[in-house]
Amino acid sequence: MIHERDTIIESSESAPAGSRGNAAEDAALFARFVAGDDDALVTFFDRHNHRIFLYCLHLVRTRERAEDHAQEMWERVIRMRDERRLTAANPLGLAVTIARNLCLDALRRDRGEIALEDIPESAHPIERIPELGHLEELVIQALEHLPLDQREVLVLSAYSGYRYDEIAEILGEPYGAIRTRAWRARAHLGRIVAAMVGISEDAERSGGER
Amino acid sequence: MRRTSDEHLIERYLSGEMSGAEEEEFFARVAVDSNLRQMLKAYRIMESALRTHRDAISPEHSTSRRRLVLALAARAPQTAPDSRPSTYARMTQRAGITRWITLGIVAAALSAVTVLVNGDDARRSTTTARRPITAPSTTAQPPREQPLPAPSFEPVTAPAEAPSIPTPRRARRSEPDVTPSTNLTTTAASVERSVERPAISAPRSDTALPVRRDTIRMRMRIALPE
Repeated sequence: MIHERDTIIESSESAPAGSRGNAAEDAALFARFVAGDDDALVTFFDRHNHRIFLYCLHLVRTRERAEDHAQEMWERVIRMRDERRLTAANPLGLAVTIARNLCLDALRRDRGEIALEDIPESAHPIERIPELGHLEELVIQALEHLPLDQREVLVLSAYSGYRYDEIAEILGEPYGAIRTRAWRARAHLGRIVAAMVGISEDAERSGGER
Repeated sequence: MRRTSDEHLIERYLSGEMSGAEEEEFFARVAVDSNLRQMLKAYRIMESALRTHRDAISPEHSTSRRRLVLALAARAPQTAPDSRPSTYARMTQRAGITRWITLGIVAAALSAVTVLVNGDDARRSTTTARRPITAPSTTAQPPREQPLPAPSFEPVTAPAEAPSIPTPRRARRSEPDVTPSTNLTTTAASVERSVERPAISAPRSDTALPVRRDTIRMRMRIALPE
């Protein structure tokens, strides 16, 4: 039983390899970039681009668009530096905020074009992952239907690998509020999955009795 | 209410916030409570799904990285921490100097061509305008060794023989001009010739003969020495 617990903790706490950032190092890197050192931004990109891309992916749902928005975000950062509108304070918060605004703008534009329900199943933008089982796939789909404030905290935590205190700094909100939102998101998702597990267990039981 | 407390328990358990005694109590409940057991299983599936999905997304962003490097290179260099200009800055500066040199050469070549063309035209026009009008070869030519006095030209706007309004001045001009001081006795035949306007108009100058668009009849008197 102890072994099982360790596995769960590891899965919830683990982050993408090499992505565990250090706020002080990030601030120093960004300060170098603001002072004119372009290589510092490339290093900063290597540390955080995939995590920001994952965040964008769960907002806009397709890899191509997520990459485009992440790319646009970096170009905006460079432009802000050129226009002397950049400070070294909370660089990760700045990057995530820009990416978030770009994704939300794109979603707002899409809303006037076509409803998600009108898209046929074959052309559904959610990517199918062959490694996922049936229940796991339902979890990912349920994640996409969470409220935005809960979803982004869960994505920043479970996908991007940021700690709650880092997320609180990124989003500029109190640590307790982030913690509560994360708990609500997990509980919301957990209830959906629990219902599905119950249904599947009932189905297995009824199949066995026959 | 009970469900919420169960979720809190699972969250605390997953985040490792439980003490040893709390953990023992939690697992004792999981063993007898099917709902709590089911919820714990759901959380495990959820965590597994998120992890598998996260790991399945390729972290390959080489294209984006290349674009970022290009975007950085395409912009003007910022104030670098060290005073030595970067390679990009040196290349840009060199390219700027080369561009200005090329522009200068092209401008000089254009100016030279313009001067050559204009100079040729001007020379041609000046030659035409300054060419002295001499008497026809049929008239008596003065010997070469004797210097000729400067010929005097008097432009006449209308034929002398048919003046529309005779004036005393014109009547005087039609008379032979005998100047005692010059001691000239011979008066060359009056020559009337027409001077056509050259194709390219020459710039006006004091030394040039008056050239008009219409035909000008001129009477030329050449005073020959005795």
